[in-house]
Amino acid sequence: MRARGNLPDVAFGLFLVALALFGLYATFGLSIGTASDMGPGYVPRALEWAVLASGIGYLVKGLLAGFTPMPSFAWRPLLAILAAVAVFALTFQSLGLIIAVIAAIVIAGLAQRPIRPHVLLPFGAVVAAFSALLFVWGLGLPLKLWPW
Amino acid sequence: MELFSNLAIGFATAATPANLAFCLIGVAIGTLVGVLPGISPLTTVAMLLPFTFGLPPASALIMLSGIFYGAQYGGSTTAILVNVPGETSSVITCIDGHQMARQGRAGPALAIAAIGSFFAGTVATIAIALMSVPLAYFALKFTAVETVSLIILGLISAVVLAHGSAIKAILMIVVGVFLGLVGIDVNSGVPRMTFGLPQLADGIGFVPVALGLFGIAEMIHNLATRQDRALIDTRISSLMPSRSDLLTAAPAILRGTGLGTILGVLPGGGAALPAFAAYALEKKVARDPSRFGKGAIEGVAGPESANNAGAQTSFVPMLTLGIPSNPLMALMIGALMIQGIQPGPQVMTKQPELFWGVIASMWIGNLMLLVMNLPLIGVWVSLLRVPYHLLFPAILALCCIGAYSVSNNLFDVWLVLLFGFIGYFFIKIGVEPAPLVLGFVLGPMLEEHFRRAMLISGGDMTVFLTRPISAVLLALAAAFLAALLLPKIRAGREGLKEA
Repeated sequence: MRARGNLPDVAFGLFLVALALFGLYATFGLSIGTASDMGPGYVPRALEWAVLASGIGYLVKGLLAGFTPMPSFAWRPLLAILAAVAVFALTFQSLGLIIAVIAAIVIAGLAQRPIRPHVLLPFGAVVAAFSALLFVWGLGLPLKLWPW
Repeated sequence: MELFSNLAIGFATAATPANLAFCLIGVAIGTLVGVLPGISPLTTVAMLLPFTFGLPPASALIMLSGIFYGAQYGGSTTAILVNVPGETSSVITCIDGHQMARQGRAGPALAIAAIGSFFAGTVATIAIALMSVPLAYFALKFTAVETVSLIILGLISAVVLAHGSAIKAILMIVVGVFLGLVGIDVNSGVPRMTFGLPQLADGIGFVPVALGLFGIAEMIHNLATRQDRALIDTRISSLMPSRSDLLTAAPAILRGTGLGTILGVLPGGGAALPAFAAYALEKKVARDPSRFGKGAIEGVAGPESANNAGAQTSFVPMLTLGIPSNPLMALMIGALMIQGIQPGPQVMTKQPELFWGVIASMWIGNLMLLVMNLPLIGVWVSLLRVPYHLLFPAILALCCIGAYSVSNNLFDVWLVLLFGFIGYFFIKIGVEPAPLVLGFVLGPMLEEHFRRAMLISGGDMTVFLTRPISAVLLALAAAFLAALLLPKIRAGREGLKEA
């Protein structure tokens, strides 16, 4: 069987449908009201139906179109960068800014080959010290620096 | 003359030592991020937003706007010397600017870019001052009905000027408006789509959305596509352009300035489109178009003037109407709201120091850029030796801390992650995230005024057509939409994209 469909358009359609269904579920209980006295649900509901309809439209149009492949994702940088943000979010409150910044920088470094831990560790320490100076002493933001 | 007294207020505000310092910091940071490819002024402003909390409103805005127009200067340096656009607005400068550099004329190219930018900045400052007063007085008469139509016109014209599929862009606006609805409904006090999360009661934060969609997503994309740039060691022997250079460049600077000033004001305007349009214009009016691409100085002078003029006049809708014309202006609106100032036409009358101070600071900032850029060109070039493999982890860390410190909330850091992923997905399927961000910022405003308009009219939708100003605004929006469907204009937009 020959491959068919404009896959980026199909993906866009799926994204819209998913968003609309999610929205419809989330705003299920909100009252709609009338046009002259709108409830909190009026505008969201209108947008959700519009997004759903266009999403289905893109889905159908994409499936019927000639074949366009889905561009491949660069998984390595994608996962490394997202993991770095996640590690920052997970460690920041418990371990403090210094460790969270160093950890995020070292993990972000996995996005590229060659991996340079001997460069990234000291560099992370420099950035951590710099941000501590800038945000905590410079701006007076109440950020926790150390685990203790 | 009212204009002069207004500008006098402005210069009195902008020329205080503190504000001069903030202006200098802003344009210096702007040049820095302009020179460095891979970090945009948008990401920078989002990261630096927390820095402005403690500042007076005028100082905050002066510094943040300096970053934006400063980046236009910096971007051209990288384009000319390295053939890599420091910013999207300097993509076009690469073509002839880099050719000039290879012919050993890097100095005159840089000088013309800086002189053109300064001239454009001066004209744009005056244009903003002249346009703002009538626009704001006009806008003060607006009721909810006109405001709705104006926002719709703004959003539609943003689509016309954006590149890529117009229908996708409109859908992205709708998605943005939808996401902007998250949070407690202002009219009824009912939480919407918050899933009981107190962090979402005030809605999804704008800073994490911008940092994710632009900063993080572009970082991932850069890492996947970038080859290490080769910095060509260009000796800059003489900065001074020759007499004939100046004579050829002067009319191009004038044309670029005019074009940029006009295109920048349109919603959806900014710095990139004017540069492309100016290059096309220069090529058209040139006696010998074949010189373009081989180091024609007009190909540097026109676009560089246009992008700087456009960058500056894109402040007009934000300052006078409270409507952002591009995502960066949306961040500026965010900065104002953090300061407790409701953006809109009343800012000019209620906060004249802020309003005119920001405008006056633009001219001062342009002067600083001219003085700073040419003699210090070596310093900026040496910054290009900072390798990207060190730059991106540092940007990432600053994005995380910046997102957290807006409201001292780790939830916002998770939002950066989520929108970073979504942004990368958008890049991959070829959808522009900028319309989403505009819809996101204008969404709550649009809903509030729409509901108010419906309340006034008793649910009668025709009110938008029976009130004259509103009808004209909507007719313009309809005309823009119709134009989008005409094949000729469509082809023109595609052409711009490829140019």
